[in-house]
Amino acid sequence: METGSLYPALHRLERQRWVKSEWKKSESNQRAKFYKITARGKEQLASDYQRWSRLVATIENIMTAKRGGA
Amino acid sequence: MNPFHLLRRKRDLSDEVESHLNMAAADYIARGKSPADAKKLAMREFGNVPLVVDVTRERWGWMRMERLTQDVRYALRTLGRDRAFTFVAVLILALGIGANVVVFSVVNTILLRPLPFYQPQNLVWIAPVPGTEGLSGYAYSVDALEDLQRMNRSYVDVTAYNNFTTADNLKLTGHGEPQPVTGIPVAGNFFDVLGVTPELGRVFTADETRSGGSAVLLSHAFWNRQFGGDRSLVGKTIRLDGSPLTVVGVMPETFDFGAVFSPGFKVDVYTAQNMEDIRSNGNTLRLIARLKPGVTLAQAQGEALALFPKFYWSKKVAASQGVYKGRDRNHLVFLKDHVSGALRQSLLVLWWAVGLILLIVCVNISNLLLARATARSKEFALRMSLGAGRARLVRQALTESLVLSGAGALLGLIFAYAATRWLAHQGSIALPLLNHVRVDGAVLGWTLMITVAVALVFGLVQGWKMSGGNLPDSLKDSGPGASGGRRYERLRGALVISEMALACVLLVGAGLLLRSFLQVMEVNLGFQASHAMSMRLDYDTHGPPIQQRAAFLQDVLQRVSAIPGVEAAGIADNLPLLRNRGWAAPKLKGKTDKDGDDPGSSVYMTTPGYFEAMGMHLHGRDFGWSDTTKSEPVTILNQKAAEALFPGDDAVGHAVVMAGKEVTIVGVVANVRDINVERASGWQTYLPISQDWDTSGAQLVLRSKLRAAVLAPSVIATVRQINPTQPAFAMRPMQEAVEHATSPRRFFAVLVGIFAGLGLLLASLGIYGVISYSVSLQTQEIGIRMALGATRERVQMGVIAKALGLALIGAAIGIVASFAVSDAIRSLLFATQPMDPVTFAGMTVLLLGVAFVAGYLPARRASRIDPMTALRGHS
Repeated sequence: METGSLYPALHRLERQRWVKSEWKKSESNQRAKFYKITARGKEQLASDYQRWSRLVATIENIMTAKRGGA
Repeated sequence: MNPFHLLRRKRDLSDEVESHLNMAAADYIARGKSPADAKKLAMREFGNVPLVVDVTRERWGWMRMERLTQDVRYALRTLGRDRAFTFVAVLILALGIGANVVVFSVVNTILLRPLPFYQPQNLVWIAPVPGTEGLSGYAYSVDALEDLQRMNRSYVDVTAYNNFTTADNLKLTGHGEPQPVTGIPVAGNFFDVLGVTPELGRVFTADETRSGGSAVLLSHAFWNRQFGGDRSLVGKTIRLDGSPLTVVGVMPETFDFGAVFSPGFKVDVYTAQNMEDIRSNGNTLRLIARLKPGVTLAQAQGEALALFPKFYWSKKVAASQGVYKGRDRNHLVFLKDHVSGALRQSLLVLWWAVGLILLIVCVNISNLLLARATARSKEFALRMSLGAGRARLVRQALTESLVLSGAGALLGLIFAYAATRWLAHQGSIALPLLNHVRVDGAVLGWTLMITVAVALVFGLVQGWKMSGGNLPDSLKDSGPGASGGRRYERLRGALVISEMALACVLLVGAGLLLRSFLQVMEVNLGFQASHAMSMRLDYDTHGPPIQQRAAFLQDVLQRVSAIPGVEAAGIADNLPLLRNRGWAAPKLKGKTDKDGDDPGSSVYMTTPGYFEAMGMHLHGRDFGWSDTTKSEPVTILNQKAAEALFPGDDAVGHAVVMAGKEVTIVGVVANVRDINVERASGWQTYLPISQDWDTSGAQLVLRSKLRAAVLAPSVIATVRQINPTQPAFAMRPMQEAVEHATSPRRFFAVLVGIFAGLGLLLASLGIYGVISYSVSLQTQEIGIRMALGATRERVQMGVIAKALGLALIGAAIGIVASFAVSDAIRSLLFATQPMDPVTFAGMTVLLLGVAFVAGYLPARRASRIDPMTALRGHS
């Protein structure tokens, strides 16, 4: 995957205020943009993760049921 | 959306990408790559930089806006490249939009905007249905007003103003030489009922109304003009007609009595009407009432029908109860309808006319754009093949149209601003509220609306047409010789035909209105307005005994007649089209009035010489100074009255009863159009001032080939020899009164005429454009035909025939549409048939003539084509 495709995603997250960005000096003393997750972002992550887990669990159930039935 | 903010974010993003690339490169260098390789690798790893930047920016959600600015910039660039086209298109749009804005501001002011009073929707105008009996017929007596105030249940209050006021009816003294001033006496509650508060001071108190005559309110304009806007004037005394009046207040600039109640009439001061002064003068008041909340006009009308028959013309005359009986004598309309109702149809016609102009403008611009589209079809095809979507192209075309119509609207607004300012200062046009016409918020809103609508119409037509083409064909199509260039010719032909049809409708409508106006100007007024002029004399009606007053008037006339250039001079208390009064008509001896069959009569008190000065045809003899209170009472009737009283007989020598007195008819004069130029005259009765009738003022009438302004100084100087307090009253040509009375018709006819001319011009431009374009496409073909022996004349005829063909189809459609239109404006016509053959034929010939010229110019060019040059190449 090209690293550049990160930027549209990052900017979208920032627009949703799930992350915030800041210009800082990196360890190598270069100016760089640092992204940090916000409280809102954490909440969103938690709820998305939950949904994801439910989805995985549901799929898992379906798959086991199918396998069991076959 | 802040463009600078956007710019910063863009820079920020590129910084971010750059720092990413730098860090990635630094990583590669750390792993031992050369700096050049590291950079390349970092780039490869990152992907397509511009694409990432673009996609990221789209995430910001501002792309739409960015595309718009892009489109606008692109539109400006393309329009800038095609200067001639842009200039013509913007000019045409500016004319069309400007004309619409002007008309809308007039329509808005007169028809749509509420009157400038408090809750104007509750104000009611109480008047008889207009008849031929003159101003008195529109008015009510003091006793009737007071009874109505006391007995009604419908109104919050009823008020009135005095109907018998003319310009310069007062003189202001104590400020240099005596100044003419126009004042109107109003009931004390006048301003309270209208809900108008003074700018300075207060309105009249109940006390001032009762005693009357001691308080005065100034109009804003007069206060500024005469007293330099001196705020300390309130409470001070000014002298009007010799009596001291206290200035109690100044009315605001927004309150203009004349603009609402008597268009073209400038009021300087308002005085409190002393009702006792005019109680015995009969019908002198015009009534305005404010409805109670919840009371409808129909309820109030019902009450009026029951109440008015109980009122007296004068309580001293018991028999005068019931003169206001019948629906005709007490008709209620909303004040707004009274002010603008009669103009509604004319204004709507005007609105339609400019609407048609706008339509023609749209068609014209579409036509111009299509001509360009032919040239630009390659550009569009190219853009499509590079991936531009059809929607994007249509949007691009729309943006271009919006930029065009926006520019047109801006220029049109400038033009409209100037035009409305000019209109607002045309005091001589008798249209109500005209001085309030201006470009305001509503007008700007309307401008915006039509600007967008216009852009949508021609933008969509063009965008659709351009983007709908066949790609490969458009790309292949090259140069004017190829067939693709004619793609739009059929459509353009149809557009030109519709332009012609619209212009034809406008021309016929304008022709009918202009012809009506000319017919009105041709009306026999009964007097010769040209070379007649009038000036008010300072004359005390109620002063010394009649012998003395008559001697004064005789002296004035003698001296004034001696002024070189004065051909005739006379005096009357009222003048046609300026002011009049109505009495019960003269009757045959022994006849009594049956209810309702009194035709009424205008009454004029005159001196010898009046008829000659007015240029009226007289049969019998004029009054003489020997007609005095001691001699036999005499009268002169107009033809209408004479014929009605003595059908088939000469009225001269017969006696009639006038106002209870037996008078002998000594002469019969022509019917004068005294109330309305357009309506046939009613009965008119003339009585000699010297026989002491109830005279109200004196107007000196002169007949002279000299101009009024030239004659005025010597006349004033002459009158001042006898009466030093004669103010410098204006000398007014009688023609001015005629023009004032016909000014609304002139206004509408001229405006519609201008619009029709504009429509014709645009339509002929359309024809010219289409024909000359098709000539340029056919250069080669014409060259071949000429090489094969076609004569120049033949080529020329062919081109002209094409232009005339388009015009003929357009005119035919237009004529059919005009039948419907002319029928719709039937009520606006005067002595002109809606199907007036002269107008229809004349306008068709005019239309075809202009089409001929528009076709002749390209035809001449076609006939000058050199076959050799044409055959050799594309030129």
